[in-house]
Amino acid sequence: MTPALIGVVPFGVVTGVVSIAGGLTPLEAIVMSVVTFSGIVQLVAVQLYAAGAPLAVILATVAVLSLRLVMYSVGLAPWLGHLPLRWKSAVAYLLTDHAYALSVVEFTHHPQRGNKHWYLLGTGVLAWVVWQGSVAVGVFVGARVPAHWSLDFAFALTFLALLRQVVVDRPTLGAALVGGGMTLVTYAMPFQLGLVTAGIVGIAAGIAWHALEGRWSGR
Amino acid sequence: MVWAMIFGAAAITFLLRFSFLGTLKPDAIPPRVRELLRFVPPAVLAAIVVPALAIRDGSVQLAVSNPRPAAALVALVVAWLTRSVIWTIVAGMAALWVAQWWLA
Repeated sequence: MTPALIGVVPFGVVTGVVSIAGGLTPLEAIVMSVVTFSGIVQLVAVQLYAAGAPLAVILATVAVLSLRLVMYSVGLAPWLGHLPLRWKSAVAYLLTDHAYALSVVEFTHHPQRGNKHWYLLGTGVLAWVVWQGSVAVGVFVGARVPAHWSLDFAFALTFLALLRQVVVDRPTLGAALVGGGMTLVTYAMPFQLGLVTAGIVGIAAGIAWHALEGRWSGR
Repeated sequence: MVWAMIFGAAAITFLLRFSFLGTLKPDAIPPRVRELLRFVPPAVLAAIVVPALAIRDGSVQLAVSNPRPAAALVALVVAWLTRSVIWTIVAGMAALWVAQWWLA
């Protein structure tokens, strides 16, 4: 088990707990976890659902949250694009932040490696088992955890740690500062549109920052 | 509604994962769009984190009576130095529990 997978466990447990607290039945929580296989989507969708957001807003937010998966899809396509459709479907279903990060490092260091799809399948299936198990623990045991343990705070901390790993230069720092800061203004927007709005503004800020730096250094 | 949300979210997530792997050619993506995608994770993760820390009961609360921003600051320093998910969670939870015990 890789160190990165250990971090998946508390995240999965919290996702299970939040799913139940947000009003899903255990069956709905488990099915959602299996069909989406994305912690961020599960957590945020459930919170929006609990806050009474309309379906269209939930799905629009999910789309913005999952845009980063397009980036991973682009990143792996040169290595895995030649595979038959059923393989590409399986790999796509198992494609997570974790699997992408491991695979890119492995494939970059060993470009001649055969059976790259088996590597991704292996890491993906392992992460899947750990994730679904952790969510199930949260769903069935989590309700008995006392509220003053503030387990939901661990969820915010997980994202804080992930955030550290994606802030790699000044433009990405700008995107994070603006995206995060905007939520303090947009949180009161109707229909729970605050998150998706702040995310889009943050992305725009990163692009603008990058463009400005290019112009300054271009002289 | 709940099943529409579950399967709608699953369909969107799968299609975005499948997009370039499955059908589209990677060279079909303009460099500008690629640039845009780079800023999705930092912007989106920050937009999830900040409200979880600073907003309680529907309003911004940065007063000392809300120990979460301070505990998050401790966790942020640990995250920046260690880049470790585990240590970030350990430090942040420890800081929160100490602060809650202090305020209680």
